[in-house]
Amino acid sequence: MRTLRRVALYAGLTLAALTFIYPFLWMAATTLKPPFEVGTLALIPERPTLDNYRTMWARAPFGRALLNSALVATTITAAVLVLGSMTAYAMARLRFRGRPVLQAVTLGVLLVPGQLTLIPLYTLIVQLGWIDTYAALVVPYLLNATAILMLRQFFVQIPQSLIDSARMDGMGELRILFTIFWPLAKPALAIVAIFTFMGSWNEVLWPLLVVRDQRLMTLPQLLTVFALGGGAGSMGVSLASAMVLVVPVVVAYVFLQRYFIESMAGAGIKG
Amino acid sequence: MPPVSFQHVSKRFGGATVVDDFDLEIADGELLVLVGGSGSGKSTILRMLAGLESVTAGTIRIGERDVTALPPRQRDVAMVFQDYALYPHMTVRENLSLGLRLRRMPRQEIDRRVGWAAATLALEPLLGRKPKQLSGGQQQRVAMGRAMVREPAVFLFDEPLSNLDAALRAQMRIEIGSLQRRLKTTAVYVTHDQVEAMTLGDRIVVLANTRIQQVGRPIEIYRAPVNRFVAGFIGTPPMNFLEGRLHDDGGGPVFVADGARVKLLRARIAAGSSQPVTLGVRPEDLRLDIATPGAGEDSADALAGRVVLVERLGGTSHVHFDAGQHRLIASVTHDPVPNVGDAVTVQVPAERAHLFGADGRALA
Amino acid sequence: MRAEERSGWLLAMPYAVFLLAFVAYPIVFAVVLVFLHWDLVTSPSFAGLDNVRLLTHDGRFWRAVGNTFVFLAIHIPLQIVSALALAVALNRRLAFRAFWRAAFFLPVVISGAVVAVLWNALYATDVGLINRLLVRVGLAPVAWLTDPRTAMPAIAAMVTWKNVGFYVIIYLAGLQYIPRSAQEAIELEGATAWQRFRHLTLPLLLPQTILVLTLSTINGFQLFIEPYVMTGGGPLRRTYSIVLYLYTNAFFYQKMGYAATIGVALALMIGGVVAIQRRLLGSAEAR
Repeated sequence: MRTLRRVALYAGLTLAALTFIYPFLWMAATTLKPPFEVGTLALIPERPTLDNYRTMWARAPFGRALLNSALVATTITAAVLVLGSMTAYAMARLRFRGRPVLQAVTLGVLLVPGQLTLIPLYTLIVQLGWIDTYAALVVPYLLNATAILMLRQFFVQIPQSLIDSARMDGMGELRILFTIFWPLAKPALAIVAIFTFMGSWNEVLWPLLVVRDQRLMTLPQLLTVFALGGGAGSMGVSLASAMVLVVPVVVAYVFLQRYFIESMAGAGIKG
Repeated sequence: MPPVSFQHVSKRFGGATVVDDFDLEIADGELLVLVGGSGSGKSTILRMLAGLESVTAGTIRIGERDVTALPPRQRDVAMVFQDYALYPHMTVRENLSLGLRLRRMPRQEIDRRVGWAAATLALEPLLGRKPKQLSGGQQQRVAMGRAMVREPAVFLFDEPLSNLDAALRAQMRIEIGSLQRRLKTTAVYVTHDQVEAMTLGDRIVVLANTRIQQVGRPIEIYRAPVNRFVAGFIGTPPMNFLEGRLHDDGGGPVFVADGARVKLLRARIAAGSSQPVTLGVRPEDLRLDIATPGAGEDSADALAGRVVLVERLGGTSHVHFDAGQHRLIASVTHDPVPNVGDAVTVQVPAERAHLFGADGRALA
Repeated sequence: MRAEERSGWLLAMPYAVFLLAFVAYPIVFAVVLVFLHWDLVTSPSFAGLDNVRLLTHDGRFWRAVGNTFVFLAIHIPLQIVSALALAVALNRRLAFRAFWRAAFFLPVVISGAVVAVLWNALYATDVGLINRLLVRVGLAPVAWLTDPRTAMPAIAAMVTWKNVGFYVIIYLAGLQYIPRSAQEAIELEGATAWQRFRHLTLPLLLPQTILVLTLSTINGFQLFIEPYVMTGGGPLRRTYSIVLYLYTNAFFYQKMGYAATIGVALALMIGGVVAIQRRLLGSAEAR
């Protein structure tokens, strides 16, 4: 009796897992199908073709968009890691007037819905003349309250003795941060890096507001514009453009899933 | 029909055998104690009886029913857990009544039983509280109450007193014992504490290395342990052991260890032979006297020793002394009590001596 | 401590500046914008309470609010039930446990835009996967995204699918805290698996359920990319979301003041709904 329940459990879980994986498989298969096959249930096309990809590539600058996304996401992640850990270090280990206020405000930032500040930020960008620039995509994201709080929590736990002996050796604060704290904080840094990078990679509303020029669009933005603008023409092509966005993420996810889960779930709960 | 019987029950986890051929019948209304160290299998046996562990081989019966394959809820047993296992989000009253509510007992009956348990265990003022508002002892009583209201066929206790402090433990021990006697429900009680075993059990099962070492009434186990393990496990302070040889060189069987000679009347040994044995004697059976210089004949049974430590407990004192290579303990209840450094003579009464062979088993 | 204080200020300065420029200023300016008319080309003009008045009468806005509640009414129960069921199923010694968990979490890491495009294809009336499957088993196809009755439910189902892995992780974390012995105790007391769930597991998961509720609600109010990609707000404006309206006002109509007003209203609504939820359920938790 017990084994029957066990089998039913595994069957149920498999079915559930399939509902999450199967659409992606079908999507991948569809991108390889010629127009008359699109929409069939088969996971292996009878006459596989790369036409959808060729069309997609020709009709919109996806290579460029991939580069844009990579550039923007990497810049933001690097900035968040460096500037964020500087701030977190100061908050965690240095006493200065106003520290409690800064901490309270940082916590408060988490409560503010993005939509409240969206329009003013947009007008600010317009007034700075940053429409259609990388600056617009990057600068508002250079620092991140969730990242700072996470890093701060980690930095607080590092023993004071390490800092003291480093200071006695004559090290300045920045040196201490990057040569002592960073190596110790690798797991926390990895977690912050992942959710920051993913957040930036997947972000679409902000780019839709501040970037009009196709050459500067990020990947999800171009995908959206492409799929909506009728440039795709057929499901195969629009799905092909989606694949460009999905595949690198899935590949990274397959290898790093534990870190992804720990990172994005942890960050979400804090937020 | 015995209320509980185990027939050749074994439990294996992967390659390791945790319980090996456990065979036992429990008498109606009996409080049976399973006692042993960690890894002896005692908790596993209890959990198999509860249905929380599966049985690898053998049969368990409760009453007439073969319950070996039945899930816990169908076995009509109630268990008191070591960490009380109270439902944290429910009040004491809800904790007590949940089992009955699940069985859709009529409201009146539930209230009656809960009231009875609460009165018996002095829980009435606590009925509206949540577990985290209770002390350890109070939580323990709620756990017992929860088991009581079910009026099960068997009570199971899984080291229920281990998390309590010494004073509370002693008090709860008495309460559990008297409660069980009053309710007359068959109970199986698991503990590693031999004092609990001795005071609570109608019968004790001593377990070690996945097997039963001895089953019997406390006093039998105490007076006639079947092997060295049981002898050393039961009794505080533990039995003294001396390694030596048993000779018979014509004058009757004699135990010889360096520094000691004990004439034993009961031991059976072929004349002219000698075998290695362990002599066991309980601290309270040793007769200790402060040595007076120039005493009379030196008795063949006596050990000469020097006191190294005295634990004075008031009415009794435990005197630790060295005799030759051996460190022994004698319990002394009379004055004068020796001091550290005194020379003492200690007599081993032959009728109180236990002999164990090289394999650990008691010799007749 | 002068040196330490100086260092602290220096290191925290970039963030302080950032906060002022990109958080404090926008929040303040958002409120200011409520009282302005501005198209970003000409200079802003004072609007008094025009924007607010307009908002209270704006059918499109309130339709969007209504749509959001329709979305939440479907999404929230679906989300809680599915996440809970999967978490309970996963909370035991299982072969391939990491695999299941990774499978459920996969859509969480994928961009919302991709998920929208994907489900556009799944829901497509003629060639979509779902309708093809329905036809294969003999059922009639449904015009998921073009039928006003099914459009928002379809989107709600999709968002549930996307996020369930995240909430499974939350529930799994909560399940770790339910003491094993209490579970055994309730089994011995005669509880069936369902009774154990209802009387022990579910009540002890209340904090997690509140979290799921709050986060899903916030998520629902912030719905944008899905209707933007899949339905454009239709059919018959049934999937028109508040953020979509905000975006349209800013990007297409160039009405910054009004768009900011929508933003403020949205923030207030989110704050209000979450506060009410917390009040109602926080008291349940304390009990």
